[in-house]
Amino acid sequence: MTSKQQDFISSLSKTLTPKKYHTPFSLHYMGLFFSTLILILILNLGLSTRPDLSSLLREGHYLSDIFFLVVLVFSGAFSALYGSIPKPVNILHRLYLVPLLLWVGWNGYHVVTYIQSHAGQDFVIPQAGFCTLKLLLVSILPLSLLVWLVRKGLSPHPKLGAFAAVLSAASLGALAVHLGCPSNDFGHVFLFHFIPILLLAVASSWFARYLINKH
Amino acid sequence: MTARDLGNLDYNHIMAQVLDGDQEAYAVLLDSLYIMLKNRYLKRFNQPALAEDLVQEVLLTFHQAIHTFNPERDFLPWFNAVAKYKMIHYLKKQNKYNSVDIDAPLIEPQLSSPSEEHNILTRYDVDEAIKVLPEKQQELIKLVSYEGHSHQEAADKLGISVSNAKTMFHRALKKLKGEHDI
Repeated sequence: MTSKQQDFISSLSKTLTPKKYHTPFSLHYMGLFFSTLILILILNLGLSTRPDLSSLLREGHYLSDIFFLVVLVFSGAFSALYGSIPKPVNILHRLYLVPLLLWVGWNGYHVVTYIQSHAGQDFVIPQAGFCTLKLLLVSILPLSLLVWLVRKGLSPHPKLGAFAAVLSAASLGALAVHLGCPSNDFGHVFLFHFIPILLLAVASSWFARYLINKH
Repeated sequence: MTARDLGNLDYNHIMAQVLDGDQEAYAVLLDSLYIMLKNRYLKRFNQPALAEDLVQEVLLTFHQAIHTFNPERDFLPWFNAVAKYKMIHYLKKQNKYNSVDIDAPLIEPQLSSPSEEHNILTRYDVDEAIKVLPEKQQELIKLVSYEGHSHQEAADKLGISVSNAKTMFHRALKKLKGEHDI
């Protein structure tokens, strides 16, 4: 070994400090994650909920929307966090497919149903309102938390990690929006609640280098 | 550190000491990993400069990611995952991803004696080795093997034809092989 190589090794070894094993699934971090979720939902319910929410929560289609978004929040967050620790598993990247396929399957089914039920009718572009803006604002806090946790590890797939983290945070934003938005039109819900989730997630993978990858 | 020492290293035991902040144990571990990676990348890529860069990149990443190692798991599979991730990331960054076979099976070092370990490390010390070549051939080796230029780019820089560059490159390698008994 040359002296240059020895210098490199001693420069690394001299900067070693005691390390504590980091897992994003520790009670401490999970507590923080769930507290953030609950805080956002409570704040959102306090600020803006639709007046007919209690009756809607007894309807199957509305409950299934809520369930879908909750599953997206958790599957996205789990993928991002689980994937932030290097593992000797070659199929790790397939984990990220779960929230993506869920989004595609769910929305594909509803879009087809919507088109069939509106066949022959004129297409009216739904009103946007402030739904997407609200979704973005609500997503900031959970996204910051998730990115902070993912960056503590070493994500072997930074683009997919960013995708999953943003998908999870944006789904939480969409959930908050969904509880307050008075529209029952699937066209509006699809365009301004569900589509932004995927668009933001895909866009974030281009910025993964800045968002996730520090190594 | 000798090859025999390397073979007998209990990585999990050493990592336990490293996690406690033991700098001496860490230096021993880094020595061992350095040799292991250097051999692995030399065998895989046969490009000493690339191998050296990769080793340093992987060890730097390892240094920054030690806290993600679970002491209840085996060290080497985790380390290999980090090394593979960093290798792919580095090669992509250098646009060398498609020119090397990253799916080739990993070859663990099989150092039978300390002298063999010494040979592998010094044989590829290209800076010294290429001094036996004429200046233009040295330039060419550096451009192609160090900086990763294609024969066309190297030929353009040296003001010679591509076929001339290729011939010169192979002659240089042949001479190096003869000189250093590779």
